[in-house]
Amino acid sequence: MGNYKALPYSDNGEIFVSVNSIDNSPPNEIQKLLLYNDTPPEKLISIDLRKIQFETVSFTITAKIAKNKNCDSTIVRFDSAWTNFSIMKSINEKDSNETFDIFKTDIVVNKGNISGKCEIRSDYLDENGHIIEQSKIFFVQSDGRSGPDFKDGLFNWKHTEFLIDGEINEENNEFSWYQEVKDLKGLKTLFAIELQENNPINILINDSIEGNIISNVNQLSDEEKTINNLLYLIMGYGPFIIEVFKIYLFLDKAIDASNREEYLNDDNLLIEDNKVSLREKIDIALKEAKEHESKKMVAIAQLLFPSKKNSPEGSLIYISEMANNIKFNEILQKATVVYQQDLFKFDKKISNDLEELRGVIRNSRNDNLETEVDDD
Amino acid sequence: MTRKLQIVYSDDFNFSIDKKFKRLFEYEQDNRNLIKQEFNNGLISEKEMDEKITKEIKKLNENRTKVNNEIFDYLQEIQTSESDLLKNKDSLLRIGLERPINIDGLKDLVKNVQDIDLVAKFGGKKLKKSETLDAYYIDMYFGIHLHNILRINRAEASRSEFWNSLSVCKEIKEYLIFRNNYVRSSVVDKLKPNSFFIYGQADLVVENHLARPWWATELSRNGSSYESSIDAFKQTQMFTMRWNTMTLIHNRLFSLSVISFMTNQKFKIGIRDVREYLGRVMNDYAASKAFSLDFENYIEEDYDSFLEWQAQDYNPKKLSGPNDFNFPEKAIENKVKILKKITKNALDAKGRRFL
Repeated sequence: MGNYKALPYSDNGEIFVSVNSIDNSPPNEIQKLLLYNDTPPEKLISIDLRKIQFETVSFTITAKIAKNKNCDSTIVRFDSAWTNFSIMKSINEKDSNETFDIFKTDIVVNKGNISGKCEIRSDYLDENGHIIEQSKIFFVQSDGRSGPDFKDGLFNWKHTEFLIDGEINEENNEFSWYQEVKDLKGLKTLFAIELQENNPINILINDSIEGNIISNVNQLSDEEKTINNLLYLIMGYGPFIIEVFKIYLFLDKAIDASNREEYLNDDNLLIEDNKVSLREKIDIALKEAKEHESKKMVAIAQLLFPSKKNSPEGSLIYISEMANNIKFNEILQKATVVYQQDLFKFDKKISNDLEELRGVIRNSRNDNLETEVDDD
Repeated sequence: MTRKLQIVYSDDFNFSIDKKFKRLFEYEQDNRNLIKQEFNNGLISEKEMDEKITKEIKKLNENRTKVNNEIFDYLQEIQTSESDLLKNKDSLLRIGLERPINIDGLKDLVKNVQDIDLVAKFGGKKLKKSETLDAYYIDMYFGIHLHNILRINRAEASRSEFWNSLSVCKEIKEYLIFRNNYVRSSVVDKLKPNSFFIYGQADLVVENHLARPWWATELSRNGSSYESSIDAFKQTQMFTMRWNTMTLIHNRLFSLSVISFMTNQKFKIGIRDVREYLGRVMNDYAASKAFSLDFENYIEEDYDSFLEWQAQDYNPKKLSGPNDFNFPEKAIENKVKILKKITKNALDAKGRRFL
């Protein structure tokens, strides 16, 4: 009788979540704006309940899967890890169209039962009760307990103007990052970053660049939102790589505080027999770090080395191999994928929109050409 | 006038319970295994081993008593000043602790929990003369009464700021010293910082002597009834430390059913082994579709009843939890039958049948 092991199901089943009612009333227009920011349901990957006042909230959960998968039922799960609260609901009735089977249900959650980042996901089962697919995880941020997250935890996004009417922005003069921007004549760049000890990296969006990220997305078209997202994607990549380096430096320091030769060989590779013991040392060092920092490091390491997540030595120690030439390349290659796939969630946020955006540009170009021909 | 818990949260306070307090837990190395190894390798005789071990125990006990007393002294001396208190409503709101929490009953609770006869009676145990009471009875009495005194919700109970503020209340310091001193074996126990304060998520249900019994009560009550919680505590660490970290125990119906099963079922193997190995069987079952159908975990809880209960005062003579949900006895009995069927077909790690 072994422990349950997760099988490698793909997570292509779709899940859409919307707020059906807040304290027994349907959300009003303002609440909808706060919750969805005008994002269409199929693009939504999280809901932030901190933006509304509520005691109870009802979610409508829609699980969608390709018809040819022959899905018979789904199990919707809601988990709030901090409060040991979970919901598990089977949905056996489905609506079908030519291409999809759609399962729908409502769940009600009380504010007092949830905290932190909660998860909603769905398992898709065939008629024999075997899981054939899973959905990606939909996040519900329930209160102010922050966790590592691309938009609201890992980095601080701040809007500022590097130039005002073409002149230096005096208000930024007190900041060292702005001195560097000025010294390097980078006042017409897209963004700058500010690194702080024990705090998330500040990403400073230069609002004096026309067309840069627009924070109020309510009135934006889908195409403009895609541009916004592409800009977020660009600006977050460097800071993410910096985070990986910061983890390496943290580990390096922690290893130096112990007996380095005990854990890393001459090629800077981990010594197999001492991996667990190194993890114990690192765990002690993590306890000394700020909670936000230690959680962030562990979370990033688990994304880079998912297969080591439940191993006795854990994922984190593997980043200490960055000093090895080959591992250095591997880790940064992994980081590039993980950043897009797990942090930014490119697949959900942009993927299909690129072609649409190009289509709009192409059509607009064709329109212009036709107009030019007419003019002739 | 009722007494409200003051939330303590400042850099000074956090530094004193984290860096300074944790540094006290430095014990001398326990060499008993090394001595046994010397004997096994034929380096010393059995008599020499016994003498060395007796000497080692004496040394350990002296060191551990000294360290433990320093820990208790430090705890007693922790004082909070006005500047350590979180009073700003926005700051309290940010951590979900804006609601005033009545702690009037704490003084009586800490006095009563040290009355061993009273505690034994609460757990339905007749204590024989000179018989000592197992520590889980202490946790049972304390946890259930604390649940009833505090009347907090799960979100509030998930905050380390809440429990760490409670730990520095005068009467709670007294309890923590009593509880950490309670288990006495031939070798004095080493203490752990997270028995006193919360440092991470796992401490809430596994280590902390305040939060752990509260969570064990919350995860095992059947609405207003604490009877199932009493049964859960009687399974020693099964529902207070081991199983409560498992997601399947967060399923209320499963939790109540497995408590009832463990309480009323006669097993072919020793109960300690059942507690040790049955978790794996249940985890396997939880990974099946049958589990999600048998134990569909969705009831709309009566939030108004919960709020009504929160507004009432603690009455030690009439202990009743919030009437926010209830699983009828019959429903639990039916689920116990399923668990019995699953257990009947399973073997423990040593290849023995449970039933």
